[in-house]
Amino acid sequence: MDDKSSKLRKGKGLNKKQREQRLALTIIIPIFLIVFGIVIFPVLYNFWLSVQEVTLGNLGQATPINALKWVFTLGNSGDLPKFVGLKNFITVAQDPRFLSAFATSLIYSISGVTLSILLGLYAALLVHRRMPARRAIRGIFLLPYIAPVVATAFIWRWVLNPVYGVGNWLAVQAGLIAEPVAWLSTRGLALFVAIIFQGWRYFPFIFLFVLARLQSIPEDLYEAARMDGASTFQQFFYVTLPQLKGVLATVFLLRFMWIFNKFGDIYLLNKGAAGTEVLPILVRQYSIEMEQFGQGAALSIYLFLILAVFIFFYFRWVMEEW
Amino acid sequence: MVNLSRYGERAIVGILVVIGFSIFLTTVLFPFYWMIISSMKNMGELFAWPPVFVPSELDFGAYWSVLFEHGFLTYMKNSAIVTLSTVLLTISLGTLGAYAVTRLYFKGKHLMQRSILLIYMFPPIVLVIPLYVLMSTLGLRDSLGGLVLVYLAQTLPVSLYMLSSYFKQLPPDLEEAGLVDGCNRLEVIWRITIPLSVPAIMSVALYTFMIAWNEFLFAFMFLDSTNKFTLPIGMQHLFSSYHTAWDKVMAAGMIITIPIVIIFLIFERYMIRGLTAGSIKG
Repeated sequence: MDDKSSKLRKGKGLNKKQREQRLALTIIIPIFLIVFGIVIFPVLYNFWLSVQEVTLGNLGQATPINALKWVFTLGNSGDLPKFVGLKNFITVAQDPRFLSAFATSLIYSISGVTLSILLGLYAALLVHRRMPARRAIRGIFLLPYIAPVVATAFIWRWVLNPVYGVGNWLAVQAGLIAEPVAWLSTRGLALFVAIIFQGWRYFPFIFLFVLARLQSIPEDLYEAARMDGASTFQQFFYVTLPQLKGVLATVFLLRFMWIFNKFGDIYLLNKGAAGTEVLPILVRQYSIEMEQFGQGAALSIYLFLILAVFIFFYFRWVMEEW
Repeated sequence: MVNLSRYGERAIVGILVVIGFSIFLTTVLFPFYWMIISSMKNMGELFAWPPVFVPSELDFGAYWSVLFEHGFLTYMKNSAIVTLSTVLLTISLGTLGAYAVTRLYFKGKHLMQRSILLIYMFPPIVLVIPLYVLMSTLGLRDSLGGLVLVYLAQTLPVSLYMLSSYFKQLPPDLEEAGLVDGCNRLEVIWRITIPLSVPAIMSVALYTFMIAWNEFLFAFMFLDSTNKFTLPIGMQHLFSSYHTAWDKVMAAGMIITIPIVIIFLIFERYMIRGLTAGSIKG
């Protein structure tokens, strides 16, 4: 053992394969520790939190050491947050806000993603043409996605301001509304705005993917279609769209997963008021505002389970060779 | 499908193109134009009704006030520290790690390759509560270092994934030639692999930059002291303290947006690569 470890330390007397393996481990271990500490351990720790009553008062006792102690003593060690079994899960499930936030999340995600896909597809078809300033226009189309979400959300709030908002003024001039509207604090309207905001902010993402895919569709397919007398629209429906099916399904799944779990966009628009309370907003309310960290953890686990279904489909359908 | 005459069809396509460009260009550009002019309007024109579309004079008072009276110089410094540390650590750890995954052998390599994407799929909101409690009990919560750690866990899996798929395409012959010439692995990485991979590394760096610079959720949940705020939290804080100071809020928005737009304009090619490759294979 001594002999071996001193050899290892000096790195001499090792064959090439052993030396390489040691180098690989030296590189991988720090990366692994970061990812383990920030992703894997917190997920496990979250399960422990979800069966404890953790409030601001005993937050200091909810240390990872105590969590490990609890696991090893099979829950018999004193001086810990209170074990409550599945109570947090039941409390959360019985909270009427949970079901309504779940429904809001679904409506918000599905319609927002659909809208951004339609816009992204439209934009990609526009830019996928020979035209002047193509690069500049592509760059401009990406702006909403490149700009930080805080900046864009506050621009929208200012544009839609009920008293001074230029959006209200323009909508009145266009005859869409009779008088200025409080877009972000009116039930129904607020969710509508959040969905439009999402379509506006994330269409560039779909635009990029579709554009890349459009460029790789072989020109022969269009030539063959034209020989058969296909019109431009027929070429779109019978050549382009089938070729895009895969990429569209993929971005739908990806965007849906991300939007479903997105906190910032809605929080910055109106803090989840007026019928825009989605599940991620509820996670923050349980923990930071109600100071019920155990219940917040239970809610995260619900979110995780919903998400697991989508991750499963993602790997099943999209990552075939994974 | 209705059998349209070629002429009629061309007209419809033409209309769709014109309408499309006008709608996209105005809806994308107008909000940004409105931010720019609102940040520079005087009070009278800022709250004028009907709104003023072309300000009669440019007033940079809001920028001065935001930077020097509302702490945005500090927030900029914090954002710069957090972003640059995240980028540097991500590309150094990411390059070495991706190299190890593609070219070296170690136990658990296969498992690691498979978990990289799975971890990347993990949404931050699921991690935010356990990390909040964890970091509170460890005293790491209200610190920029803790924030960098959290960002690294988000960016490392993507960078490992992107860089290892790039390294796989590089011919191993060159590296082997280097090894035969007496370079060790680290020298091979430094002298051969990295110079050949500059575009991929750039894409990772820019993608990481964008994530760290724009990040809101973790910074918002973890940072309590104003002297540690990053720009996005600073902007949210500014708004919640002065609800009606729209010139200042818009100036803050400009301060956050300008650096990322400049970087995008310079490195557009790499950034687009990073955006697409970072999110999906193929």
